[in-house]
Amino acid sequence: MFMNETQTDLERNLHLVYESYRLYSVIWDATTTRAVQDTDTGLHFEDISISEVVPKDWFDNPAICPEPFFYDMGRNLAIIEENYLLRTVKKNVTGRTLEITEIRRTSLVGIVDEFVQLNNLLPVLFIPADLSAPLYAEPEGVEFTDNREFLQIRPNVRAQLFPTSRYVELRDLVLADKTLGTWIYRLGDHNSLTVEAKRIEDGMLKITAKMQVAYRIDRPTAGHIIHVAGMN
Amino acid sequence: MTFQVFVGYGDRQAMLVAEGFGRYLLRFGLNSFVASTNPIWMLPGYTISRIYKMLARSDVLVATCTRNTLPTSNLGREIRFAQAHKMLVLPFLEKGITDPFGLSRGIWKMEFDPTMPWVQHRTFATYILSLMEKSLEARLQGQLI
Repeated sequence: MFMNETQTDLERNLHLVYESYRLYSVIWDATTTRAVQDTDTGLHFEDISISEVVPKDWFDNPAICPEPFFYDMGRNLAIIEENYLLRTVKKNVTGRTLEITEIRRTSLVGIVDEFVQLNNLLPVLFIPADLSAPLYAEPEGVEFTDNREFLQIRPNVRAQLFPTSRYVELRDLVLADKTLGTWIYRLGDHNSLTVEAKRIEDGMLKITAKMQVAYRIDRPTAGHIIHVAGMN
Repeated sequence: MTFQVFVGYGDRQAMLVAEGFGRYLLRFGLNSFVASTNPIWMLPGYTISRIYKMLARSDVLVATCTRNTLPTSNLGREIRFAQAHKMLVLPFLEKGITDPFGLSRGIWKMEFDPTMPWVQHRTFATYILSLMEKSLEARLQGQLI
């Protein structure tokens, strides 16, 4: 379609969408994931996509640096995906609604420990962006390992933390087991994601990053809402 | 909706660069926050929790580093916090140094000359604004903001 150099530059940039999506996406750690199978029925797939028309010059002209634009596309896909995940969780969980008075490690440890003892062995904790600051400010509030964050409960027991993006609507904390639901996706070029560029008119390209996913709730009782008194 | 830029820094020299850029952003029309002792942004009594709250409310973290910035500085924690919140993180580096946090692997970065960092202010601020507008459009496209 283009001269080789332009094509290579374009491909490198398209790959950045995938790279940043993998850095920011929480799905792979927060849920059980798999590709759709022939035996799956009754699933309603959501289209998550971002597209943009850009001039071909972006890949010819050394003075133009399109990398951040492509990199940010992956980040935004991860935010849209997180929004869909949490909307589905909030609508479907039937576990308890608990209340705490402040966000501190000590107020969360007891709740998570009890949750683990009820046979929820892979606890994950979603924290709204607005509420996460006090926990991160505590010296021992959050443990960082392998680019992931955890709340240490006791030796060998910890909950993985997922602070949400500020663009995701979430008012309360959500404590769930990783097996609460299954994230099912149609196979794309890179697992669930397909990133493509199409020439639409002379000198213009349409860049599309898309995926089709369905989050199926398997164990609605494996999700609790934790409300912080005095907030919202 | 007003965008907010949190300008982080990794050492004292970087703090001065961050403050300069933070002031420029305010003139440019973007909200900025620099966790320094400058009363434009922080008054006595500000806690770490309050600083993280400001970061959580920001759209982008600018990570200002000089050759004196250590990987163990507080900026590293701020970067992790920002990435965990899926925030845009942009390196603002002294010319010629390798970013100590591994942010700029193959990704765009803005470099400054420590004797005249202001030369880059307008280009960087314009770039940040255009990126944030593109992000907003993308999320609107997904109708999920």
